[in-house]
Amino acid sequence: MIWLRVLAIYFLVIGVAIVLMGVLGGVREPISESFLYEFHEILPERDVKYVSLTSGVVRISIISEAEAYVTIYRSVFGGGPEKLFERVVEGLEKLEFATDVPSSYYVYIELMPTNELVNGSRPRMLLDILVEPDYDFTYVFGGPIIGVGVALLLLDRVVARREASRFLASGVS
Amino acid sequence: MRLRAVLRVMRMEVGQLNLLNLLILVGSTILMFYPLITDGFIDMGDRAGLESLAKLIIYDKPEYEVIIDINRIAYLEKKVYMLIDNGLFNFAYISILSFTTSIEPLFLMLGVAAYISMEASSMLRSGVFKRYMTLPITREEYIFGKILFNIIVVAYSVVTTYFLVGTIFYRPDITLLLASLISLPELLLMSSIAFSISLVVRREMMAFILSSGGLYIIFTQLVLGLNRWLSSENGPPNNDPVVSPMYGYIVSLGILDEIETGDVIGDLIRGRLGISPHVDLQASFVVFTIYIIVVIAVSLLIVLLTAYFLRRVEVD
Repeated sequence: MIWLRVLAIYFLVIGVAIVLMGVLGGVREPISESFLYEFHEILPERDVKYVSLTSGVVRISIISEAEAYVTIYRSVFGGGPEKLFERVVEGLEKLEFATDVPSSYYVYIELMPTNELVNGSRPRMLLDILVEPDYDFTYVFGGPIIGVGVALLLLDRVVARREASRFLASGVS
Repeated sequence: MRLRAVLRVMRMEVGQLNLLNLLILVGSTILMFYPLITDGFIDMGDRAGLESLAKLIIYDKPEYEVIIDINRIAYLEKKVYMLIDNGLFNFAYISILSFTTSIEPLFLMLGVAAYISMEASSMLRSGVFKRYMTLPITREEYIFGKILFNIIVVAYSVVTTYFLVGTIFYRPDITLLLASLISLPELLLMSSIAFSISLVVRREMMAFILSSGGLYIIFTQLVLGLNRWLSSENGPPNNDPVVSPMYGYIVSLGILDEIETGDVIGDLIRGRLGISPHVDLQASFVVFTIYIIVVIAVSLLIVLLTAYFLRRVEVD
């Protein structure tokens, strides 16, 4: 059956394409980025950093020498952001968020004004974001699709063989 | 030429699809979308526009509104990235945008050339041709049907892979679907040119080299000429395009509402797309439609002429 074969090839190609994407994506190293802020005397400083990933873990480390207000939002599939974390941070704060669906993380920072000095200089804050993507989902998606393709190819062979034997049995020379 | 006979050839050709050729084509397409795939996982790279806008809106809005706005810009940024900085767009509009100097379109050209040269080299072999001799078709219909079927396979394979990449790593939406479909005319043109070169040369390796090289030259010269011819510029001293098929492409993707909002975000996206305020978007859309019609017409003409001129060629 022609259409069975077409369907099998379609599934095989799509499945291999998905797996190939995972293999290519896996070549990439985890990405980390650091941002250094300095506290001011009068005005609070505000900033937003964002990261989006399909699947994996986002690790956020904050080391602050003065009080900083940190809020983290997550938007899944571009939908309305939901609040994941909200706290005034002073010292070290380590956070970890895992996702299996395309998500965007927004780190909202507000550095409170302060007159204090740390070791004779203005207090500072270090924001460190590390992203470790997980590519296994491409195998989870692609594997079964390839399986369906192979099964359809086998089914096509069985059907073809049955049709051939029926044709021979009909006695047409 | 009878349509029924052509359809019969195409239907028979479905059963002859070469899986290995198809995998080579899909593999090269994936390679073309490599930056799109790797960047799709993490988006921490170049987002200068987003950062600067965030600085603008961040001071006069409450926290949640800031996040909502940044969420919207981040999505639009991604959308613009999908539209402009991807291999398919670079390939399709390589000649329109001066900043597209990436190597990715070359992967697609190599993949298409490989697929088509392999398919074309077997087309006029007696073993393959004999299978079709039982059908009441002419050689012209046979060649036309085979070329048409294979260029549909190329177009389908590339478009599906692009849509798949976008769906997995970005967000599936109508813009992504349109962006995939709008490149179909260029794919048809590219594969029909590669087919005519391969059928004339008929030797697999030579056909591959000539068609991949030919495609590159044609797409950087011929399509460039067509685009320049259809575009109009502001004139000296700033030769900004006022009407161009590229802007029509953007309008056809339904992004017009986003860039004509008149707010800061709309202006940012307009800037990212390189659309200056005096660009006539409606006229560009008309020009883009003409461009698409011309490209499709030329593709079909190439296929028809190839079938016509090769109808008397001897089978190997």
